[in-house]
Amino acid sequence: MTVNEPIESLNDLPKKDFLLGRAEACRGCGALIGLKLALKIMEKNTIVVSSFGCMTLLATYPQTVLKVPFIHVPSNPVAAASGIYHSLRSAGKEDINVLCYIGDGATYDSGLESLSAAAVRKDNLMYICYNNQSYTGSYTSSATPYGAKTATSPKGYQYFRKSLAKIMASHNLHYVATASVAYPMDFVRKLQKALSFPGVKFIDLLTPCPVGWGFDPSNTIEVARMAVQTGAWPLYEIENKKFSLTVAPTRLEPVERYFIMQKRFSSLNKNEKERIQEHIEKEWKCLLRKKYWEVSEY
Amino acid sequence: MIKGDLLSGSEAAVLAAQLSSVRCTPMYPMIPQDDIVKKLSDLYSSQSDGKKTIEFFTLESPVAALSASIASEATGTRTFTVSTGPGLESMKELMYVASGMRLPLVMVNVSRSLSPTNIWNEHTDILSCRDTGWLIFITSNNQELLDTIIQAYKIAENKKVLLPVLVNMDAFLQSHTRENVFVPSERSISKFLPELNLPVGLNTSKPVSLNPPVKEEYMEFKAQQHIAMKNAEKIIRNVDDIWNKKFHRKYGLIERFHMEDAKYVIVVAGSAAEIAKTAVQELRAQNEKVGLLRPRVIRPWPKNDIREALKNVKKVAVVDQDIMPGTGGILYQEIKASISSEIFCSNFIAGLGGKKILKEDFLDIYERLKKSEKEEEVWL
Repeated sequence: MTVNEPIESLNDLPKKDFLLGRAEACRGCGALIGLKLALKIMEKNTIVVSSFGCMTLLATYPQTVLKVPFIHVPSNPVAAASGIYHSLRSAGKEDINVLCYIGDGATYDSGLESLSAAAVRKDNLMYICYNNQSYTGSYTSSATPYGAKTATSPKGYQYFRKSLAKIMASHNLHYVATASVAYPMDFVRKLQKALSFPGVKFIDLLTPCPVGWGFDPSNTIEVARMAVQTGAWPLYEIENKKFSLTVAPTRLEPVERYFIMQKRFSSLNKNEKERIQEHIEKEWKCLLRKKYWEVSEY
Repeated sequence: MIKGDLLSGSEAAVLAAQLSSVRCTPMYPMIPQDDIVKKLSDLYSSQSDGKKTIEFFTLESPVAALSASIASEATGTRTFTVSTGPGLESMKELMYVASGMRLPLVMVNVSRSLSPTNIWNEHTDILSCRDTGWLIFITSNNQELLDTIIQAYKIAENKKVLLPVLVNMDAFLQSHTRENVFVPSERSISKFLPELNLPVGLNTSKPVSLNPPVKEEYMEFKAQQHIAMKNAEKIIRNVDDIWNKKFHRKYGLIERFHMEDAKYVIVVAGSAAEIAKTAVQELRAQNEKVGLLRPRVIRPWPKNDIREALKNVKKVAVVDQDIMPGTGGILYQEIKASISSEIFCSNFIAGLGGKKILKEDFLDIYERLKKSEKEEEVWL
């Protein structure tokens, strides 16, 4: 049971919340905003699956801030989600949504084989990767962007992240998208669209982390917005193999504006920043020409 | 109890799952349990669409198969999965999750050696699970295997237990060997085993958060798990009695064979016990006072039964098909800790990596046990 009518504006969002306040999470957590929005759309007929990570804090015994069933499993939560999907199928309860709300560590790295297998099996899962570009505790994951400092890359990460959206798209999914908590209507529209398709639907949602990225908790949305405005996190969707940019700034802001908002990019020197700027501009041109498969995202 | 049939261990396991009205079977095939997985997939594809009573799918790793089984069971669906040696070792993290979440999941293990690479029978894998909070049964023949899997659901789902169960069969010696098995009727089993009614689970009309982090209450949860495991002993006996009344087969926590007046006792688990029995019978025919004790339940460890059974014997030979390098046999340590230190107890390491154990080996063990003056560790 999901909200089927297309939602046009923030004011039209359902008033009812399935994620309550007072979670033992950090102030300014981008991932909580994403989950709150997702549950407004997916409503009570949803089982949420997550891995050990930030979302562990949603339920700390004996309390929980979720008004929907929640299970949290280590290692490969997607396999658990598949278990739920198949057991619901055996019980004829296929109308229940299974929402994987899983961090980038357990999506890009440790959970990837399960996600891939579930995608191939066409298990009916809504998968949202809350992407704070690091593991809980700010350790490098393969979603960490080049140059960002983490607890395990104190001088800045020396590699470019992998494009998981591309990996998922190559599984021939009906729907793959990136999203940002700074663009809630874009995210909501994508989620609603995704839910209309069978199989695994994948949304990579950028959820800035004040603690790991080093910015004031009041700036979460600003940082998330700047990632999109500078082209560091382009928003697009791949619907039945058709690529389209969903939010396309007419002129990209210099990526420097995104970097200065956060401490994690403080070790980048001028040359490196220029290189990244060139990289982003080149890729952006490709994206505008819809040559998505030629792009290596920043 | 209607018909007798020749069934391999794999076939008996699949039939037991079917009789237990298992609904969901997440699997990862590995030699030698792949035989079970193949048979389940045959069963699944023989059901017509829309009339499937058993759900089957394969995952990408043993860990994933257990993750999926845990979550499936947590939705209140009776779930069955299988494992073997290396797969079982990789599942460890999730095994603690299953028992920590108090899920009445049943998993069959086809015991297999670990490393160097070897696919044959050995008990090191199943015995290494003894601290995971799962009930552990080591069966010795396919009839017992079929009966134990069905009993396992009844025991696990008892509100005083609510713990996962591992049921072991020996690789190839059971899994790929056909034996005569009496198969209970579906009707009698549906009476014996009512539908699963999980007290807490993933239910959209009664939402709860499962497996949350726990701080101060952690020890309380562990204590409850400890108590549940202790409760299990009584429940296993009760279920065994009900089974005996219905189907006239009784197993107990340990099997005693010619133990009444035995002075010398061989302790051995699994299908090797069946071979040991022929040796014991032969020796008994020569008026040797020898008996056999087979631990069937490994967790909860039947300490009292074992102490009681061995209290009047002179010498014990524990035959281990497992090894703790540098220490010796695992069963040996457990038996030693359960009996009086005055009882002479030697350790025989045998059958590692599927090395054959013959009747003659047990005759030799007996001779050696009788003659030796000091407790010893012998590798066959």
